[in-house]
Amino acid sequence: MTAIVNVEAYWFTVVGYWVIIAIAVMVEFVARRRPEFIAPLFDMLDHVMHTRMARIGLIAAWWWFGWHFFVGPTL
Amino acid sequence: MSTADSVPRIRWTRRELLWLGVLSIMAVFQLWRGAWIDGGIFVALLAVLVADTLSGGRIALVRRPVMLRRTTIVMSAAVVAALLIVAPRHGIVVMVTMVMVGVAVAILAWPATPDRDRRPDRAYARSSTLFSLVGALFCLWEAFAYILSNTLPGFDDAFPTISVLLDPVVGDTAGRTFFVIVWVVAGLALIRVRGVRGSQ
Repeated sequence: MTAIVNVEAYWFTVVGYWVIIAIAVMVEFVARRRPEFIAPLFDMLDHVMHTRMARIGLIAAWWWFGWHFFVGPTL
Repeated sequence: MSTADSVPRIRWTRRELLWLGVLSIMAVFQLWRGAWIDGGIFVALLAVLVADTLSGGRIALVRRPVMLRRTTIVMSAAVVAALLIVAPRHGIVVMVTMVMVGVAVAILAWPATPDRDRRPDRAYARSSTLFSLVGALFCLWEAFAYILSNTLPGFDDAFPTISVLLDPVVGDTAGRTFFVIVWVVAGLALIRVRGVRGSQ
């Protein structure tokens, strides 16, 4: 019984990630069709990264993601 | 001139405070889960950014902004990608490579860059709000997965985090090749957005 619940919880969690990714893709899709209403992702990043805090924060987040998987004990 | 006149007046914008909040949450979460190095990285980052803001943005990593040709950056990125794919994962070569990448991108991204507005302000506001909400939702989903899998007895593998899902992929040579290419291209895209002021 626990094994079945575990499998269901596993796929529920995985599907949750995909749903969130799908929402991001949909937002970007709408943004590219109507960029004057919603700025596309990289246009928005270009604007936001004007401040040093955002610029360094975003690039540090990207760098840490690589560090986490290549260098650190991931799990 | 009084002391009050000589001290730059610091104004914390809402955007800066939000970024500090996000980075603080990352630092606390990493320290809470016992990832001391990861937590330390975010604490150090917070300290540098707060010090820079308090100094009125006067901290300079290098005397003059570094100008690199686009071809130099792309070739360097290709070497980095090759090292990350070929060298043993978690090894010293990969660690040194990642530290060098960190220093290089910090130097490239640190200097102030001009704003290049191309869209209406409201379009930027909608976009940043929507993508921030999606990003926050993703982080919350992963945090709940981590907390549930670590607190519910017998449910260790039931709520996988992104690390759990991607670790086997990165452990495999083909998977790591794909992952490295995606990661390097994302980095180049981020640096392209702000960091590179090359001639080509």
